[in-house]
Amino acid sequence: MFPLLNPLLLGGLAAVGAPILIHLLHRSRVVPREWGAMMFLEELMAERAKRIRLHELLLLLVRALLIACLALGMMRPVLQSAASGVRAPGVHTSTALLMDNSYSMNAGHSRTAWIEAREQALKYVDTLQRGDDVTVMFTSSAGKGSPPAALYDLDRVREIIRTATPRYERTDIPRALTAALQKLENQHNPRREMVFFSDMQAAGWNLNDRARWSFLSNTVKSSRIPPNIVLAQVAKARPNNLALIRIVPSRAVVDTYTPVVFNITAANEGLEAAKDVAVTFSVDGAPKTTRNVDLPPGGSEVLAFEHKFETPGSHYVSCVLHSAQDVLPDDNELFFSVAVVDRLPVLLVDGDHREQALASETGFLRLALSPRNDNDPSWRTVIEPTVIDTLDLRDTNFSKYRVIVLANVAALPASVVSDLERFVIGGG
Amino acid sequence: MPSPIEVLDHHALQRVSKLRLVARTVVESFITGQHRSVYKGFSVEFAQHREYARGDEIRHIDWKVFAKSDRLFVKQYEEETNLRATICLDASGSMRYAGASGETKFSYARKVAAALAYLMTNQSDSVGLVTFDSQVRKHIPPRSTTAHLSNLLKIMVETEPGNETNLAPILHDLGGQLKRRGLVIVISDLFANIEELSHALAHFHHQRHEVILLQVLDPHEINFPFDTVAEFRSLENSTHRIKLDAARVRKLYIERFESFTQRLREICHRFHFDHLSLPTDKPFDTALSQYLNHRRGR
Repeated sequence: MFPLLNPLLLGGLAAVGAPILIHLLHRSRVVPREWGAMMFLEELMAERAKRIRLHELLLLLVRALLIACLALGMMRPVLQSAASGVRAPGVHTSTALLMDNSYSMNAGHSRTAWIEAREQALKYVDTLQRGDDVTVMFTSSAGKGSPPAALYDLDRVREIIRTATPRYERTDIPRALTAALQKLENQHNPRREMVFFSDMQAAGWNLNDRARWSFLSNTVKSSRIPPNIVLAQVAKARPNNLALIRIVPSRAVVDTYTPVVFNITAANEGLEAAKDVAVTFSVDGAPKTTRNVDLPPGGSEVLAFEHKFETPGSHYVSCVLHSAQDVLPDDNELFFSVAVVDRLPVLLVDGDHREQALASETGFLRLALSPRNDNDPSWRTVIEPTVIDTLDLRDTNFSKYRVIVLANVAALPASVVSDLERFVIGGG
Repeated sequence: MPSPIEVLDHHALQRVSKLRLVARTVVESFITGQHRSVYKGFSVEFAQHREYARGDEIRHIDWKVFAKSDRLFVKQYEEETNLRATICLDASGSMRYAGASGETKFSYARKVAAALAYLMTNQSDSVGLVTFDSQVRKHIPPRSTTAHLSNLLKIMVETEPGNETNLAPILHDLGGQLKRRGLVIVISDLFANIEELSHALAHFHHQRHEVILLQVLDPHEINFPFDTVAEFRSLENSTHRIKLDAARVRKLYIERFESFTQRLREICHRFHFDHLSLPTDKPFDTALSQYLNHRRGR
């Protein structure tokens, strides 16, 4: 098999028919001529007819072959051995240099995985020869928009590698690998190579997404010239990394009347146990509590911090993990924004409204939602129920309420239904 | 069809009429003047007396008349002439070819034949005519009268070229039919198998005829100036066709043609025959004048 670097020029082979066509047209353009000296032509034909015919056929064949060779040459066929074999002088390489620039590449104290990846990538570039082309791609951007241009200027390649930095963006490894392979498919050198520098962290590989990995596999199999694929791991498989994974509040609605608990998960992703790790809980940037926790290798702990907000409005809580042995500080801090309310208007629509207290179902519900304390008139809860009749629905502004309860409502006018739909869609 | 008078190109005739066609070899005649006789001492049918002129053989003087009249007379016989010439005019299909000049080879050859017949009749030589293609069409024995010339011209005018050529066998047969030695003028393109032609000319030579080959050619046949792929269709046989790239075979054609001509010259040289090439784009009188002057000077 001879893979073709420019298969689009396959149509050029049709030009082989041109000499044949010219030959046929030439034959059809025969001029009749009456002639007297036939004896000389007879002698010529007798001696040379076969030779001339053979000569013409050979000439036709040579012309057709020349055009075929030209077309094939322009298609740039390559030997399979040259395409897949080791590097050799004169056999140029197209490289897709894919670098994992997820924030985990910052792991490490003085020598991060990113620095190591950068150095290895530069060493790789040093092995390339004049005529090789390199496309530098990053996992954060590969597969999004147009791929970057392939560069033959290796100094420019080095500059791009040196100036790049990790990004705090979601990583999608299958997408990045697919983009790199597709980029290689469009390159013009006979030898193809894809080199991926990564710390091989599990995040971003999406190993359970079989469809995408199957697509990636097919991309490799359908390549005109199968590339050499090099996966270069640039850091320890599991560095000593402690991280705060998530903050989960105990309630969906946080108000100024009752405290809320924030459950914060801290994890040890390394192979060594972390003892007495300090975790500080802050509200609006002000530290509130610090707790120490032991984290076993590969384990995690949930720490609960309780807090009662004094003022309604937008607040944020944060949590910081302090550890000297942690190699990746970027994941040691988490933030969580909280919308604190001092009132929660609730509309109770009663289809069977009664004037007497506790005579209808909404009467009971109203009392349950907002019980009164006769000993303390100032005592109140965040829920402010309002009871209306079904007939009043038409004149009610739903946007003032966070919750609407329809009790014993048999039917609703169409306009009210559409208003309710908008209320739900709007987050009610 | 031209009239017999039109066949005679008067301008050309004016230029050649002062010339004389002389036999280089002995001819079978008895008359005074230009040609030496081969007959010595035997008689044929007596016709009349004629006054002696310088150059006449003394043996033909009628001494009895001299004794009676004291004047010298020579006896004249029925067949008396200076030269017996037979013009062989090729009327085969190939003579129909007309190249750039637009004049067919036959038309050109006919003018040459007419001019020579006129010339020889004018100098009291007898002229015969043979027209042929694949076979002899007309064979008119030589005579020297003006009426005979008119008859020859009429035949020439009425002759149209056609059919395939069979030159060599016809010449060979003619060599056997001409009983007396004389001059045979072949006006043809001479497109025939050269060895067969050689054999026929050898027969003439054996019969001690003198032969002049006037080869009428169209310039296209000499230069083969075509440069396209062409189907050459025979003028003699419409089913005979050859398709070839003229430009590609031109060199070979010319080589073949020149080789043929060279071989023809060699044969003529061997038999002491004359060969004159007459391209149709050149006035025949010029070539003929040069040739006759040259011949007379030898």
